[in-house]
Amino acid sequence: MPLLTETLRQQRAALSAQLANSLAAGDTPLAELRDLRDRLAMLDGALAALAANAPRRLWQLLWPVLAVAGVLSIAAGVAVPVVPLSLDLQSTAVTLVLAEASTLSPVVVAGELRIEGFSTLESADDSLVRAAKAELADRIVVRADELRLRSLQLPAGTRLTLRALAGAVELQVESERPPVVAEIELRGRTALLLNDAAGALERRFDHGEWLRLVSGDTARPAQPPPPMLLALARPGESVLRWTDLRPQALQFTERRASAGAGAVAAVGSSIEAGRLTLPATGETLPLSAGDGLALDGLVVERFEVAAGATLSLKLSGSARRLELRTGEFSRSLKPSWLEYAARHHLVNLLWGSAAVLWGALAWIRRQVGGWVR
Amino acid sequence: MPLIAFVFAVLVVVGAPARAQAPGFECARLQPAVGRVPAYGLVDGPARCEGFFARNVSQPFIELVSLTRGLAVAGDAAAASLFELHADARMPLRLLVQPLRSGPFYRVDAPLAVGQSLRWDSSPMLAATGLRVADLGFLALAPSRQATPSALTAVAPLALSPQAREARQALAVVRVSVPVSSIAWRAYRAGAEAGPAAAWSDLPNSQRYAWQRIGITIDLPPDGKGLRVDVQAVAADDGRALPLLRFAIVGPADAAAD
Repeated sequence: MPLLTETLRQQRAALSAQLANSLAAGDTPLAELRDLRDRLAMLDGALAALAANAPRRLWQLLWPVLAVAGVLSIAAGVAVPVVPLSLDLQSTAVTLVLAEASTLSPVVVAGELRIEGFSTLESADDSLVRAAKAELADRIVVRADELRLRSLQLPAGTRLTLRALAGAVELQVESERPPVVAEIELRGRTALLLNDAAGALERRFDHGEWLRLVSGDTARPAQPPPPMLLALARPGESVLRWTDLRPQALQFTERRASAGAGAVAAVGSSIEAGRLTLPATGETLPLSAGDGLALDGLVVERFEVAAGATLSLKLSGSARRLELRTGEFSRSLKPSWLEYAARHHLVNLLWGSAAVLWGALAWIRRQVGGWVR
Repeated sequence: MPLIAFVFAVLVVVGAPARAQAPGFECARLQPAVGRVPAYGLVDGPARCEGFFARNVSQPFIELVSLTRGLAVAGDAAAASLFELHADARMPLRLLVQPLRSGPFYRVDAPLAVGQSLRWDSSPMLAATGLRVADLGFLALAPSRQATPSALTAVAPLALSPQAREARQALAVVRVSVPVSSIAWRAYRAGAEAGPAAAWSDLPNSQRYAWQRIGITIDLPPDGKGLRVDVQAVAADDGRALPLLRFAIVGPADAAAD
């Protein structure tokens, strides 16, 4: 078929050149000119018929469909970079990565406060400062009628782990740079136990006294301070609450008791129950005990931890990474652009798809119609 | 292209006041109030931030709202609107003027250069807030060396008039956010010179309702060194102590804030 088309095209070119020459000569008889014109018209007709009958290659017909499919696959496969979320869960432990310097707001501690891993003790009560120096104290147990963890100052880049224990809340501070500062205020009858001293230092502060426990040396900023551990007594049903932390990442892991000495302690998820809502897709996911959840790149609008028998977390904001792991199976919960568009630009999406489909169908009809005609 | 030029011109105009401010001085990180004029921000003229701001109050607390040299604003100064403010310290300070009363949330921030007086006109603030001169609290805050936000506040006593510069006493004004049954305070030396902490002294008739204030007269050390001050208040409803108010008074001989 292509050979025939080519022959006809060559003949047509020769014929049109002959017609032009004859017209230029000026004295060619009219009958001859008509003959040439009719033959040209016939050749054009034959060529058009051949072109219409030529079979279309498949891709020529299908490329609009393929283009639409490609765009849709990309939109369905590529996740949005940031996903808004709200999270409400209970867990036994949570680790907060704090990108900025943070301070824990004051909490009243009922009964006893234990702090391990400080380097210096400061106070307006000089006798306590001297005792701590003499003992080279790095841990202290404080019992007082009125006791308050006034503040806990954390440098930028600190990892703060909160654990709910029976009757206490444990805070573990791992910081890359000094200083980590815990400030305590006491009032009334007070007993202080430095290191493993047998006898407690008994005091009576009718008005009040402050202690400032510093971990790390500000003169050596490159030296990470020793980890600091704070255990805050929490009798009965009482709850300790913090609302002013702005974590960048959250991890829910806990160490399980290992089988024996030397065995590697198993690490599992600390989540007990919860609910994750993704307003981008309108999806609400229940979280059950043992589900692993990892959040990173958080921009927090609201974050609240209430430490009771378990930790209760409420978070709303957005995350760059949001992964749910159930057993061995891990998946990102970030919606794709398609899901996002379907939720937020539904009318645009419908009109857009209608226009594209109409265009694609019109193209195919034109192609197929020409073939059939 | 004209649109780009216009946008650029707007940016330049908007950005201009920010460049005009004193080096190292910037407004406090506050939420400017919505719908109140002037909202807190940089104002024209010498480096100064002024206006209404928004504030949330949650925990009960005692706060320091004024620390001035001399015991009271002298008669002439009380009537005048123009103050000649001076703090005797070896470091640049930051002036903070705010109402002694609970509201409105309006404040003025300005830099105080070392060894120089600052002439401050109170009339814009008084006109905007309806307050009297006696309702104003003055603080000269020292820069904090530590990056953590709750490092000890260091304040130099501010003389409101040239006559007050030689005074050997300072007046600290504190206020409470909840009703309190009593207020006590103590002052002591810090660092290597620390001796046994001074005993607490109860302020007489110090029962206060929420947002009421009380003055504390503090003797400044004759050697020009600084002091630490602790103020304690006991809540009227449950008898528990509020978180302590702790601040450092910067003396003229102190090299840098602690």
